[in-house]
Amino acid sequence: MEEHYSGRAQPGPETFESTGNDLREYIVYREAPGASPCAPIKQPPSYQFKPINWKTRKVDRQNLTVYFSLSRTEASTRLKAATRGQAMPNARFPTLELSECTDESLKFVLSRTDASVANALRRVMIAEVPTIAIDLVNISFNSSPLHDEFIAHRLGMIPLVSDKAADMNYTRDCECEDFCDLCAVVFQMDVEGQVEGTTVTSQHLQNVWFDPDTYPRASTVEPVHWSCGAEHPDPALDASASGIIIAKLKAGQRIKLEAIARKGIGKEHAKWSPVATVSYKSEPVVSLRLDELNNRLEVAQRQELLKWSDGALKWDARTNKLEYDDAFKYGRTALSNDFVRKCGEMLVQVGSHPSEVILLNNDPSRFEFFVESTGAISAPVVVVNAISVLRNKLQELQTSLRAETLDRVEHGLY
Amino acid sequence: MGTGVKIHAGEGRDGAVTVELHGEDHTLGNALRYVMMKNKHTQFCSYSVPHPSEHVIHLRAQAYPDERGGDESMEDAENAESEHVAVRSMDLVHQGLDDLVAMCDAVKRTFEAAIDAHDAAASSGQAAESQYSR
Repeated sequence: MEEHYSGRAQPGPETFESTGNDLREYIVYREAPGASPCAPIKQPPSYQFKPINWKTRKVDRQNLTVYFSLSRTEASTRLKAATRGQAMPNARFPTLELSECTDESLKFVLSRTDASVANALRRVMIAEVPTIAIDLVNISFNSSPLHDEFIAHRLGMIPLVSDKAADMNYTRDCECEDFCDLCAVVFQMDVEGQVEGTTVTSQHLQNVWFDPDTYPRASTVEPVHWSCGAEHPDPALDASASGIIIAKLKAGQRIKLEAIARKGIGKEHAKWSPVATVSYKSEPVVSLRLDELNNRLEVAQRQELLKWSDGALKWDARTNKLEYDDAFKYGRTALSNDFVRKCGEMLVQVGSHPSEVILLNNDPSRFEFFVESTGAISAPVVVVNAISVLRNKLQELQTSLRAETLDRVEHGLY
Repeated sequence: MGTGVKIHAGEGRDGAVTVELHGEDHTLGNALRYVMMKNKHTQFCSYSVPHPSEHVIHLRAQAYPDERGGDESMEDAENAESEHVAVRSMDLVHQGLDDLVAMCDAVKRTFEAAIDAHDAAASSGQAAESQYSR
């Protein structure tokens, strides 16, 4: 592994199999006149390896270049060797167990990793997975009790089916002048209150670009009318049937508007967040310092505590002390809440602090995730998209970091 | 979101590098710090958010000096050593990004396998029909 990190080039045939995707970049001194700097080297010209003199660095800048010194196979061999050698026992390969999975919500356990990784995944799911939401509302008529901004805000909150969001453009990146079916979806609504009163819901939003042949992407976008997975027994209250309420109109009141939905991310506005909630928790591990417990508590207290231990502890009549029962020794490590509470109370009574005896450790490598989707994207897809988003971020960084490294080397600034 | 990076290397005698990552925040910074700390060649690694309303993080990394030492032909050995470490410190950043990409791939693979297994179990057990990719 040492040479893996060396700053000097390793001469050898594999050195020239540059693919542009390899792990390491090294700086060499190339004596190939006329070659453009930084061009990926496919065929080796005449090379002469020289250690770089960092002090003087009076090399011909035109002929200084950076190349990828390891072939792809070589890199992967070394990577395997590194993993086998426990260089990074946990870091690269977390494990994952799925426990509950529906379109709406998801529970899984991510283990053999660190809180920073779990938190990155959580943060990306909340703030960086793109969805589509109503962003611009042109209200042409509004005699409802709610003012225009109120209605516009309520419309923005409605989750829209965003399965095709990944294929759509951000409006700011799109080539169109204003907006088009590649970067936006247009809804129209014109509702007039009837004598018995009318409830305006997400069902009234009509997708203008509904034709799937002409608008393969925009036509798939529609409001998520349900607000929960289960159907309500009372049809009047069943959100899956009636849609999300926007406003209520009396006879003669009218709302007429055009709403333009765009792609965005939760970082910009929470309406673009695909999840209602994402949380993770690590499992607490309760452990007991039995010697400390025996030292601090009176005999009577210890006997009292035995009753609460639920068989995890037993009484040693010889020493009048508490001992682990066999079941506890053989892996039954659970202590009841009552025991922990009682034990804590007794310790306070004798002027001690519970934390000196009862140790609560969060297992720092196991994370129970709970993901609940808004309905814009199904929960499992949110997770997959989040990982892709994170990966793309990293790859963009890699690209710009490589470019910057090359640039610095060219200017002798490394 | 602004993107781009800026490298500050070889500015001190310790050979540490600081990389400005524009448009990034704790999401990436902390995870990257973690994988880089897992690298046995890392002597020091940390990140900071200099100002909460500027979307930039500073990632600082320092590698252990090469055991074999710097180049013997160097005139100023100490200076040469620090620059040598700077190269290795930059390598740590590249390696950290690689590791995190590999981790993303591993999680994605495991997750998709778990979903497939769940689907298979659901369909064989004639459980309620559910579609995971609408």
